[in-house]
Amino acid sequence: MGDAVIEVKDLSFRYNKSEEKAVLSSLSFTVNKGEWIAIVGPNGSGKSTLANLLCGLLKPDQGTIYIKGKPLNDETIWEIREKMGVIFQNPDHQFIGTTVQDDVAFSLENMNLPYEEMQRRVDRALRQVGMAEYREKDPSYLSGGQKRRVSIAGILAMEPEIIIFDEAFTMLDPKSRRELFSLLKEMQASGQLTMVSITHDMEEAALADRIIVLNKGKISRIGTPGEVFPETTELLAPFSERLRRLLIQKGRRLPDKYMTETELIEWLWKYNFTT
Amino acid sequence: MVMEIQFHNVTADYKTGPLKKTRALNDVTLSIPSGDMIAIVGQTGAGKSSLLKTMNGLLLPAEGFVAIGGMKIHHQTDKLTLKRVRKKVGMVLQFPESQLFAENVEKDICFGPLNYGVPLAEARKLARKTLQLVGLSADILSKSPFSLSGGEKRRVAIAGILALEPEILVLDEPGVGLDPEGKEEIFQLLTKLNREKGMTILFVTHDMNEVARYAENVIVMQNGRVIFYGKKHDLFLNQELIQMMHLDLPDALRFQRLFEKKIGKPLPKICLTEEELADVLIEAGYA
Repeated sequence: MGDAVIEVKDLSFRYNKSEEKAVLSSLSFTVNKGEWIAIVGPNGSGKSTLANLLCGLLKPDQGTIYIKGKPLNDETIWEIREKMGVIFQNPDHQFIGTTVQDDVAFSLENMNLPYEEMQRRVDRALRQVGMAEYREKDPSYLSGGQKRRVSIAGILAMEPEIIIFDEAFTMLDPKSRRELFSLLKEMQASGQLTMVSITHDMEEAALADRIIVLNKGKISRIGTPGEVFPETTELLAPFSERLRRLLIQKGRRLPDKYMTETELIEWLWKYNFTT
Repeated sequence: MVMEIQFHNVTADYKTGPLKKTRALNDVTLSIPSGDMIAIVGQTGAGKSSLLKTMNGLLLPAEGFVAIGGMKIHHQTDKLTLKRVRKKVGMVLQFPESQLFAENVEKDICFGPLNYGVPLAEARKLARKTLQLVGLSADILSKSPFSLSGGEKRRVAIAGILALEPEILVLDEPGVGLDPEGKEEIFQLLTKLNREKGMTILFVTHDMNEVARYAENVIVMQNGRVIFYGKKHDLFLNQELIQMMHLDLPDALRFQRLFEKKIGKPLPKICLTEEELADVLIEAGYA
């Protein structure tokens, strides 16, 4: 415990420095090694700004981000970026290679790896995301979801310690999305990879160890899915929570706590025997 | 005016190299009646976006033709006809807000109508009217589109298309990247356009909950072909097709199937929304 990989202390940020209104104000939180954190909140809550600050694309007005104990600044950024992969909303903006495999290899070229090692990593990453058969294709002609997989492969090949997903799965079809979630779960199981998902997808957030709810640039809630979901608005609640609330609304007596789908199914099934 | 959309053996491809072509649509024959609200689904690369593009003449058929309200789109359709088609068929691309460019919302919305020769005063009236239609207040007309929230930006971008007064609106993943509230606003707008203005609406989505909640009918595509076109309940009832197409289920039905597995028998009817499911669970005595 307490092995903090990301420590955010008193972080504030404004795009327009002459304006009073801060996009993020005095955020503090910690992400431990091997933990998966989901950051949720409505559009304009400051989620993507936080992602940009975490990977050093923006500089805080106030406060510090520590990555593995080191403050993130101009001196440490290159060293830190070797450990940290970021996947943004739109994969088109990150393509460079003329073939899928070159694009995945590009991220490794700065790392001075031997050729065989590069090949091994590119192979594995493409297989992990299910794009091995597209390795010779031009990435710009892939569909939206396929592009997203290639950009994830590029990050996986770097074997980072931290991955930040900024709405990274929104474009994928549900099946590939679920496959990637289980891949992430597997990667996380090693205990080596720390992940931060910035997302609107509550099914994705439900998989995380903890959820941070941002609202108007402030943390309105931090906790496990079980702690956070019962307090969210209708639109932000995952399916099992919405169904539970709806049944209560229709006059039924259900437990007054968040239940995962499995728990709710179990409960409904047992209820049938008691009546 | 009745604006049926007819695909007659349409094949289309993208030239991906000097010689190489990627087949995007493969012998599509389809007839879409006026006023339908259709979700287009299928795996990535199935041809969903290409189907939209051929309706708007952004992608021309290599073989066959698309007929829309007396106009024909084929591989040699002249530019004037295409311009007429594009006025009737408004196309909203993925992340349409990335195409906002003008210094204020009014100029951005007026850009389309002005290009079609609408006088400035009239274009401005249209801008006001469409802004109201998408549920935004007129006082943002003078604002920079870049100062708006994600959901607002997308609605301004859609207003820019609606200002051309199309009769058919095709949208490529209109909800993607928005928060649940923003998404809800967009789909309520589409529902309103469909019900009140009788506009034919086709939208591409990967989210079966959007299909369950907002579509009337569904088109399922695979490898450039239309595999299914029919009522959403009929699609979700067809387990074989769902499996073959690797389609997801709406949350309510996915939950229902897990529950049925647990209790070892089916519930009396299939549910596509949590409202339907809650009622069926109560009726059947499970809650």
